[in-house]
Amino acid sequence: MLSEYRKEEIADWYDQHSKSILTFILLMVKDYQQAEDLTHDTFVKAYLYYDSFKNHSSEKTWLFSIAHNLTVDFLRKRKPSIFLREFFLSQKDNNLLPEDIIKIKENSYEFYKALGEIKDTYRKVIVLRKIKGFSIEDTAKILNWSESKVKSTLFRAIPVLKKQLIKEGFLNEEAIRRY
Amino acid sequence: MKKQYEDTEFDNPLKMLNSDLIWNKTKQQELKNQILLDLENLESSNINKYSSRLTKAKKKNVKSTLIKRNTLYKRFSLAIIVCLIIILTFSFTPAFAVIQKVYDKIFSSKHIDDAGVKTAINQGYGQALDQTFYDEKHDIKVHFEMIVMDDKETKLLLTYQSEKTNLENYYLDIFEGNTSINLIVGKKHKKLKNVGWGSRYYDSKENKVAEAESFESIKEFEGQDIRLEIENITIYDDNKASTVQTIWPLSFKLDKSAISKRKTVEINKNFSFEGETYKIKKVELSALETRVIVTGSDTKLYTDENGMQYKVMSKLENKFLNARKIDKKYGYIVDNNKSGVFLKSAGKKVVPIFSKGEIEGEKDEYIMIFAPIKDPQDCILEIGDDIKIPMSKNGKVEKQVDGNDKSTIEELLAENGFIAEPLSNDEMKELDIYLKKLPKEFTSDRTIIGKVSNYENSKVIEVSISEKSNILSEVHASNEEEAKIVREESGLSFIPIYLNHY
Repeated sequence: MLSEYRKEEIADWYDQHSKSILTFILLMVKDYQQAEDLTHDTFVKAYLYYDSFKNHSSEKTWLFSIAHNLTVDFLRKRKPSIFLREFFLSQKDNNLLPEDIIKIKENSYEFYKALGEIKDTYRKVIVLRKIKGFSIEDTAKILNWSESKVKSTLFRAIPVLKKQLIKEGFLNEEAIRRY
Repeated sequence: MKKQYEDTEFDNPLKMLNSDLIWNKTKQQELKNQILLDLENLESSNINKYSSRLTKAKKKNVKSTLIKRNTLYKRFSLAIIVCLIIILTFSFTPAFAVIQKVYDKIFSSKHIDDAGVKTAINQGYGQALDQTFYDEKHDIKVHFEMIVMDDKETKLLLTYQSEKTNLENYYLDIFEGNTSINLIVGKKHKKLKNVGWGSRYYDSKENKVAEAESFESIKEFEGQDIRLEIENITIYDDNKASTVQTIWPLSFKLDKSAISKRKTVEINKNFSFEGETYKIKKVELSALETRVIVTGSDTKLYTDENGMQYKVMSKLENKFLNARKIDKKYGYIVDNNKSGVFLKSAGKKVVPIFSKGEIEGEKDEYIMIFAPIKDPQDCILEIGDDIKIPMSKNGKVEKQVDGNDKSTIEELLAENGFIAEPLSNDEMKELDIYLKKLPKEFTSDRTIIGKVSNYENSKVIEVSISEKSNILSEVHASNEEEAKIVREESGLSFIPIYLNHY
């Protein structure tokens, strides 16, 4: 049965990539429950649109582009001005994670926190290139950007992240040397 | 081929963040079970159970019908009306054919991922340099082989070899590395800009590197004594990029034999591909390349929410890059198993030069660069399997009408038991009133393409076809009576068929 094969494939993909996709979405939306829902939708969508997966890229890149599109849609919907004030006021709380479900080691918390404070465009290119380790080509495919856009945005994003780390008191000259 | 580096001080802690986020295994498994359960429900068309989990608001009783596609591009290829005129009599005549024996054979081998360089050498273009410089400090013997250019690009072919220094990770990367090329003519001193990546090959047996450096044209200095300086070598190893400080100089009189002309042919012909419309503005031909310059509905600059403008990847670019393969040995090569965009000249495939993929055109333009073509009169641009844009020999306008677009939609509908027919004027008015009632976000991304024929007593409320994924979806009520009530409430006396543009 084709559908059985497809389901098995989705299950395999889930085993291989679900953690990576969930953490990507989590870094983008900063809300565990939403990240879980969007991860769910990513795999259901992959099942629904399985026939349109053309092997132009790896399944991981394809799944990430689905996850990215869903996340962008979600962020767009979450951003009406009526919620804007609330969003900023509650941003610190949004960064908190349900510890029984997802943990972050202390060493990395400062980066998780700082990433949450920089703008979406910068955050996603850092997450895909530096945290998830995608190539420039694959990052361009996931974000639907040109390759030069990926490079130039990353070039601008890193100093912004650094500034944020300093602003939050996570980084000083000594820490820079440590890295 | 270049390595992809933008190494930063944060690389390691960011990598660690990936592994430092730990997801509870039980929760992960629970989510998997939930997904698989939803897929089961979906399969048995019990969409109500499935949609309970989706974050998007779903319409009631939606039945998604997945249509298996045999060949995506054949089935969803779009109507192409193509007419290209080329009024051109053009042939390459090297001003001065250069004897090839001075060149390292590597530059005409498959190890150089630029078909333009190979063609230029084989056709005898370029000015032989044949100069050697010994970098004593680093024990590197540099041999400048030849220089060839058109009005947009210079290719400097050189090899460097060492007995003591391992050159495996040595790159003359003027694009993203720490290397630069400086031009000195009299008192003029200029740092030259890169054009694409250039090409590189490392021969481990001989510890020798062959590089085709690619930078802006210096043709304006024809007949003058010029000095080029390659400043610094970039070392890429597994963790970082570093610099070897040095200067490799080269002095010579720029001969006209190094310079080839560029011919521009205005085309201005439209075509459509995957729902987007494009215009081939012009084709440019030189000894090093063929450029096809395109504008289109998705080649325009995109402005993001912060007002930042940038180019996004158009569907045509995506298709062009689809056939690109990155090979450790041979750089950017063509994957012959994949569909892409190619030129066909005199019946032979003309490959893209992927190492120039980064070259940007004017605002709103997308440039596809291919190997040089011998006979532009007998040339066809092929996009996938379905779209062929011929360039006629005699300049007469030729039209090839392909009705695949319409037939594909008809075929999809027929497979699901529907026949489409156009709306009458009254029905169009009904639809206008209906659409005005809906929020804009529900109507902006789709177009009405007709109505379902002879389906009055159906429980179907609407049919839609996704332009991108070729998936047909139906919205229907639980029974015919309910559907009739919904239609009456909507003010529609028919079942609309939409084409969704997402």
